[in-house]
This record gives sequence, structure tokens and C-alpha cells, in this order.
Amino acid sequence: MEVRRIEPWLWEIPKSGAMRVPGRVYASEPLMREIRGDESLTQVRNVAALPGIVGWSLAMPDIHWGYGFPIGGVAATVADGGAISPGGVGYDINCGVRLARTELSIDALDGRVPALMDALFEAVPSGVGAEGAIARLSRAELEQILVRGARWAVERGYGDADDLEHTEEGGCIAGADPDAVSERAAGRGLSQVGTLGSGNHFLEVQRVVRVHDPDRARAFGLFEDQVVVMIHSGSRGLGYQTCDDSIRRIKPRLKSFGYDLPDVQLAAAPLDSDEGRAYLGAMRCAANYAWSNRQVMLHAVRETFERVLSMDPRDLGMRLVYDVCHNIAKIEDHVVDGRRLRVCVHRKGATRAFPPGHPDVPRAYRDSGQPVLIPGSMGNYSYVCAGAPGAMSGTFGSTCHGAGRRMSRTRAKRESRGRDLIGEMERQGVVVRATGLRTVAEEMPFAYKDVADVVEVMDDAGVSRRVARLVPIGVVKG
Amino acid sequence: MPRGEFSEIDHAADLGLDLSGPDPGAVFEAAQRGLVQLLFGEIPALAPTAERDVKVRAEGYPELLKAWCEGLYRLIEEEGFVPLETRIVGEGPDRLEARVRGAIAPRELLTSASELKAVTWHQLTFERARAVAGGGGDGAARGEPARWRARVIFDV
Repeated sequence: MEVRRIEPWLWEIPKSGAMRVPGRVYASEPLMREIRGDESLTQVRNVAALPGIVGWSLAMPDIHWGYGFPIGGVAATVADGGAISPGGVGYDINCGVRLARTELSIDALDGRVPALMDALFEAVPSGVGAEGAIARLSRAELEQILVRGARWAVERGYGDADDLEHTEEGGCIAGADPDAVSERAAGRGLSQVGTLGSGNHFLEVQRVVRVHDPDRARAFGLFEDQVVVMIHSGSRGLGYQTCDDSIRRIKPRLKSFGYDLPDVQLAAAPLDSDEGRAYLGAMRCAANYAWSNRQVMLHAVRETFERVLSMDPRDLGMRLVYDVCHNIAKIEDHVVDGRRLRVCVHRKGATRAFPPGHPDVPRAYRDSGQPVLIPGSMGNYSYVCAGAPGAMSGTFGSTCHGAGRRMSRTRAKRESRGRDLIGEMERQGVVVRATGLRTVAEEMPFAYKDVADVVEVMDDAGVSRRVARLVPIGVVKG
Repeated sequence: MPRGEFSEIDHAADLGLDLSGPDPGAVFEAAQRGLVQLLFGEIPALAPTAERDVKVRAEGYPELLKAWCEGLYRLIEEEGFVPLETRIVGEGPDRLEARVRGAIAPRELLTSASELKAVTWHQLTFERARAVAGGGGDGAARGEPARWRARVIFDV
């Protein structure tokens, strides 16, 4: 496959065959060498064949091989008649990250991190089919969550209005259609609100170790040696089922849409078809479920900190910096070939990164740009970044979402055999509480790219700016 | 005696199984053992104490394999029931009926398992290996019957 370097941090796959637009990959030379090691560039090319795609089929530097779409992929299709693809969002709809800051400096936790992590491990259920964070919902209450998202949680006392102000879309995306959510998906959602899940999901207590951009850090309420909490989770079984149901419904209709797609996992429907509308309505329900899920978890984290540290909420000062989703399709306005166009932006393993001045950025951050939360691998460092103007001109307002895997889970487990992984982490000053050793092995730092290399590319490209670097002091893993 | 074989696939982000057997039923049996091993790290040392019937329908063997894995995972997620042995009651390209013997897992075993987001369509295959003259087919020696092979990838 022909791949041309057009900037030090940008590569292009010229249009050929079924491609309707060129592909573009944000990467340094070393990262590109790794990217070429799997099938993800072929997937960038396949996505370029989506009906109605405009601009480019994009890949962020944390790209790796996914299903249909690469993980770390961005594609915008025209809202008027273009396609929407459940595979362009992924199974974990609105998988995302939230970061809460505290008024505490690291020395306030002296000697109490193990007790704190034990209590957080209890308070936030994790692992397969985790449930029971809150009482099982009635179907009517679930429908409220699907429509109202994090607002539902706040109205029931799990947080406050300030949390909503600092959540993408205010924690509630409009246009959700509970009737489009299957019985099976709804059933899986009744008891999983407030649970972490498994795989690469985590809850970390972190320390701000470096401030790269003092002005933006101040705007985000961050300072060196501060204690912060990061939560990475999504829409749980309800979202997984919604994606699967939608692909199953759309797949047999591809011919009738006139779609000839190179991979069944790219299954897509016109946005204005019954199937396209149904998916969009159901996906928004799952997105709202995920925001409610992370909101309830944040509430549990606040209560746990207050109890273990014997602090009142005012002294703890745990406030949400921001909550971003990195698996979603959203209708947005962007400039394409010099004209303003309404498009459906698919972000699969990519984070929205709106720049200073954008009307969808919370008022408090209007001068600094939207906070962008980029988790690294477990036990390694993470970054807070800020959206920058390059995102609007080059990536449909998107940036990277994490470190990106470099090693399969199977290989990571193989290479972990015989090692005391939790002991190794503890010797590095990271207290780990996990339901299973296998997920710890699968998620060890050596299985991932260095997130610093990933965020550096997007900083160099002017897409998102580094603001602060965070390191974990405690990890809860599903 | 367990029928069919499975092996784990190296996939960048996820987990998968390569499956084979002398007939489709053996492939489904291997999928049950492979799925449990993938999720729990090994086949749990539990004695089968209960049975469940799993009946799935789909269009063609590949989708039947996906539906079968989903049915098995549903037992684990909803009931904590770990499938340990499979007896195929009836199968064809569009239907599978099986009796699964297993046990309810203790809570700590269940929470330590990998969570399955989905059984994907990515690289989903299930086919009879192409026969070659004088031999049974792909990988089979002369005189041996052709084997069935399948692949399934899980999003975790």
C-alpha cells in the first residue's frame, strides 16, 4: 500500500480503488513503523469507501487493528444522505474518561493509599457482569437514564449540576430513542449502572507530576502534586448489545442500500433510513447510559474519599474537570473544502478536541480549549491535553484517545508468566486492586505504546496541546 | 472424550479462537471449551452439577457459531453458570441444539473472568476444509476425512 509522508507528523494514503477520499494517519516515523505491523492501514483504506465520507479517512497515532474501523479512527459522513456505521463507533458505545480533581496534595494521602484503594475496590463493582452499585432499576427508570443520561443521576443525588456543566454534551445527548433499544440490551442495563466492567477499564487515583501549560492547567484547576481521580468505563452490556443488534439488523439490508463494503464489520446504513435512524436513536441511549454510569461511579468515589480520609466535601473539593467520550457518532458542523457542512463524525477510539472559543466548550474553558483526557497504559502515566485549532482544520475536531496497544493480549499474558506483576507495580509506588490477575497481565505497560509519543504527535500537529502529566498511585482493575 | 480442538489467536486488541474438528458438532464443542478457557484463563476445576439446554438458530454455520458463543456467554453473565461439557443434540447449517453440563461459579471466580463485549463478525469463518485428491483435505493425511475449521474473534 502506498503511504506518503506529507508532514513530519502526517502521512497520506492516496485515493485508489473503492476509496472515496484519501486516508490520513497522524504519526511520527517510529509510531508509523509499529502501525505498519498490523492490518490497521488496510482498515483506514476500507473506511475511506464508506458512502458519503468527506475529507479523509483519519487515523490517530494510537491507531491499532479493530473490527471494520481501526481503533483510533475518525470518519465524517455527510449528514444529508451519508452513512452511519455502528462499527465506526464500536461495541462499547460512549466508552470514555472522566477526571476529577481534589484540593489535596499527595502528602495528604501519606500511608492511606492501600486503605483507600481497598475501599474504592469495594465501592465500585468491577469484573464480568459486575452489578449492584445501586439498586436494580425498573424498566421505567432505565428509560429515564436512556433519555436523560447523567442528569438522571444528578437528580437522584449522585453528584451536582457542576458535574453536568463539565461533561461533554452536559452528560445527555439529545435524540435518544428508548424504543430502538432491544429488550435484551435493556435487560443487561438494569443492574449495571455504577460499575466499571473489565478489560482496559480502570479507576485510578493519580498525582499531577508535571504541568506543561501553566495557564491551561490553572483553568482546569490542576497543580503539581495534586491528587486527582480518573475513571475509564463505558455503557456496559447495554451498549455492547445495542451495537451487536444494530449490525445484525443492518447487515442483510446492505444490498438494498446499494452499499458494497469491503468488511462486514463496516456494516452501515443511510442516516435517513429506518435502520440508520434506529441505530442513531439507540446509540444515543447507550451514550446517555454511559454518562450516567460514570456519574454514579464518581459519586461513589467522592463518598469513599470522604469516609476513608474523614474529610467533609468542602475540604476534599472533588470536582469534575471534564468527562469525554471516545466511542461515538455525533452530528456536528465542520468546514469541508471551504464550505460549512453538517456531518456525522464517527470517533472510534478518538476524543473530541474542540479549540478555544468553540461554543460547545464549557464556559469555564472557553479561553483554554476543551479538556482532553488521554489515559496511558495501566500503571503508566496519563495526560490532560486541550483542544487546539488544528483539530478543526485537520481532524473534524478529534484527537487521540490513549496509548494504543502494541502487543496482543495473548502475547502479553505469555510474557507475564512467572512474574509478580502486582508486586512489580507496588515497588513502583502503584497500589493495584484487581478482580483477576489475567486482566492485569493483559494491560501491563509493555503491551502498549508510550502515550507520551502519542500525545506529542498531536501537540506537534497543533491538534491538542499537552497541559499536564499524571501518574497513578492506585489502580482498580476489572 | 472432548471432541474438536481449539487454539488462541494473537489479535492486536482482542481475543479469538481457531477451531477444528471432524464434523461441525465437534467444532461447536471445541468452541465451548475454548471460550471458557479464554474467559477464565483455564477450564475451572468445577464438577458439573447442573444442565442447561442451549438452542440457537442462524443463517449458516459462521453465524451459528457466533450465536452459540453468545448463548454460552449469556449463561455465564446472567446465571454465573460455567459451561464445562457439551453434548450436541441436533445441528444443521441453520440450527444448533445442545445440552450443556456445568456448574454455578463462586462469585470470586466469576468476577475474575474476562468480560466479553461481543462475539464479532470480524474474520468469522466456519467451513469444511477443501478436499485434495487422495487426501482428506487441509491438514489431513491421505485416507483421513476432511476437517471442519472455524475462527471467531471476541471483543473484550
